Amino acid sequence: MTNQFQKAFIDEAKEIIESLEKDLVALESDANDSDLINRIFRSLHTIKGSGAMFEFMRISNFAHELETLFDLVRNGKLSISSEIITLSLKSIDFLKDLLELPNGSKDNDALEQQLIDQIHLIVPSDRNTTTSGGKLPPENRNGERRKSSVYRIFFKPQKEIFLRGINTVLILKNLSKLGKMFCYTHESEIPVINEIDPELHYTFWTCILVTDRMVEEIQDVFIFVEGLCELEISEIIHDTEELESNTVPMIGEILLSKGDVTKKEIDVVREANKRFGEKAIELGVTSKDKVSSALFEQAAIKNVKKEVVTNIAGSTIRVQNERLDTLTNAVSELVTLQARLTQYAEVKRESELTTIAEYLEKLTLSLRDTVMVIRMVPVAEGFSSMYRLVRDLGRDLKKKVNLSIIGGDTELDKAVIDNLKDPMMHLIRNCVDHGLENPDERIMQGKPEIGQVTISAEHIGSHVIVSVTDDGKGLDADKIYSKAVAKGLIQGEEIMEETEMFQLIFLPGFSTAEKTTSVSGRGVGMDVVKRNIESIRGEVSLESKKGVSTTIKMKLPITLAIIDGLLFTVGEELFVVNISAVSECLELTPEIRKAAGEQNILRLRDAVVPYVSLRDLLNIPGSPPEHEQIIIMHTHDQTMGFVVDSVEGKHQTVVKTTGRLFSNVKEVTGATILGDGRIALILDVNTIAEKVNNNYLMLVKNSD
Amino acid sequence: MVETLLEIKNQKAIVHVKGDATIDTIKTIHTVFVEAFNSGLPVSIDISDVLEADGSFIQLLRSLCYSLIIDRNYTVEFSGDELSPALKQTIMDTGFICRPECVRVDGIKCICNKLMNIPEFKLETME
Repeated sequence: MTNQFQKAFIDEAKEIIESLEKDLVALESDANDSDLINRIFRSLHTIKGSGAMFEFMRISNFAHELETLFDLVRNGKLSISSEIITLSLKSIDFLKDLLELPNGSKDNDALEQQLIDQIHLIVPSDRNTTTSGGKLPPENRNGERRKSSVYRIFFKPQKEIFLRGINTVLILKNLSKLGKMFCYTHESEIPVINEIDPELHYTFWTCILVTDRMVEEIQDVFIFVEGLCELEISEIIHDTEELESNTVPMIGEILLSKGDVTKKEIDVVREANKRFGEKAIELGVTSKDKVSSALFEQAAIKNVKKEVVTNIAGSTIRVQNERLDTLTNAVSELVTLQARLTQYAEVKRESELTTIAEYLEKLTLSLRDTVMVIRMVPVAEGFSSMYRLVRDLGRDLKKKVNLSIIGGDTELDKAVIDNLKDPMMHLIRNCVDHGLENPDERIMQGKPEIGQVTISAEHIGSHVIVSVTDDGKGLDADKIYSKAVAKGLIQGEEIMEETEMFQLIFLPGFSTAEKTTSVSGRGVGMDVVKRNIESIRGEVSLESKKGVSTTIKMKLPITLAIIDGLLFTVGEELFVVNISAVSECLELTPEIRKAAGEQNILRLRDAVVPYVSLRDLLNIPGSPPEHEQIIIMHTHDQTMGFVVDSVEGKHQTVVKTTGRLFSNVKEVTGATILGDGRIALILDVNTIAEKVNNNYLMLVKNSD
Repeated sequence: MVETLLEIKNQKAIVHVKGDATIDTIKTIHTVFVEAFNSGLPVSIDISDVLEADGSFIQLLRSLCYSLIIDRNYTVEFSGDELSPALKQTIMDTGFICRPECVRVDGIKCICNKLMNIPEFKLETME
């Protein structure tokens, strides 16, 4: 049994591993990127340390093996090669397996030993301090993180420095650009106005600088005043752990470290049992300026530490999806209740009640927006596993591929991203397998040897457009058409535009691949992609230019928790459909009925649109009203009319799940509660259209 | 270029400084400050039209302020409109707003904090 902390570790480790994979793939392209190497080392170190803390010793020990390897890389004792990357990725896969079964099945012992043996072949034996069953070595904190240090910089320019045309303020300004700086100005040497020579420099400074830069970079700031000033740079906090602790140095310690008092003087002052600074001044051990400067330094360090500790403790918290869903549900209930209150207040016409309702509405909507923001995840985070996928596919297929993600900080609801992972995998596989040419072919065509796959994401209104583009051979429209005819997917008599022919690849069972490969080409990919995208209220489109590129565009809702819906009634029942699928609403006039005859076909401008009665289709009892309405909607691959009793109008809908009762009713994707407490079911128009088409086919078959 | 003017009005020595208050003009400014101090009257300065300043000017301000405190136990007053952004920036950059009270004389509010209209002292970083 894993406890909640162990579960939290597993979740976190999975996330770390995802970014590790991405970093390893990136490192293969740029083997000397020290930031990447350090990040990989730190990730492994975190898994090792946290794993041990939560008693996952097998995970911790295995991570330690890999960490040792990257320690050598980090220290320049080992160069990154393709073999090291492959071994590391295999080891990462093994860690993933261990995370699924952290307490260990022994089935994969052989694989573990095999991987450790391979690591040991690379890592010199004196570095192999542990085996999988051994104890962890002491922590190697040296250079573990290139994090901030705190420096004290004492800068006292010579008095004549102004006359040399040097602006000391600019030096301080440049220094402050290196990090976070607190500056204490010493003015004890500024004379009174009748004695001052205004062209001389009397001011000097003690600066506290928090920076991740090297001391040489700090020295460089003072390069033009070398020999014209007193300069002392001391690293007062150099240990990350020390910075992360909340202890602050005492005034005596600061004065001692600056050389402003001696150890002996400290002991004398301490005996006085008074505030150290006050007593030290009183006893003449040091000056008021020096104590004031030490107090300033203490306050600055306290300030920095507080910020660091707050950042560590408070930057993110991990929340289970279910809890977030519960919160979203509770907020949607609140929105509903608030709408009821608003309606009630309108009826009652009491000013106090109206004021309360309006205030509650403002608060509730703000709360709803906040909850929606919490659910958002940057797409780069969601798609980070694609780097590994592209790398592995490229190696399997002997193609050189580069993956770029543009607009990676565009955010989408986590539920949308989760639903998008499988379709994305299909698309990337298709790009690399079918889209990109072999390196030789590309060179012959004057293209770069390395094929490019690009994932881009951008906000357009209430949607996010995610595109996957490859710069490969593009689609051959005629070949697609012929294949569709050969497979019996179309008659072969249709006259189609090129873009329409491209859409044929979304038909079930379609594949243009001459042979199936382990990667793709079984003809199940693109229709699955389309269905998955549509199941989250998205749309897919395709653009291609032969010999140049192919782009699959997915228009996705930012969130699945809210939809802009159209509310309508059939009998006593209320329904909502996604308004983005609705093109228009019409009244079903006697003229339309007459023209349609028994075929239920409506002539809408130049198009012929079939329509169906939702009352009949959903078996809703009662008689239709005299004037029915038709809602014209775009479904999967056709435009269709749905006859309803009345259209109530637009309604922003907080989607609630319908539970097990409706689990077999595919036409219903969720429910929403209206302001007056009534419940409306959310319909999936694509499933309904499919049902209509299937019913029609059955009729044709039976009549044959 | 700098323009200075010493105005005696309502039993006060009011110093107006207009233009650049830098090392190139600091002697001129010093002269008028000394005249104001030596008048024996409370000193008020109007520096809202200072367009550019460097460390020499802030240092001179501190000197005047300190002289008044130790000589007459009151500090300098400020008149005129709000400081120019450039002057505010220089006060920030020189680090003179590092503490709430004068470090040389107890119980006197730091003149630069006052100049910057900082109602409550807060440890600031230099950005």
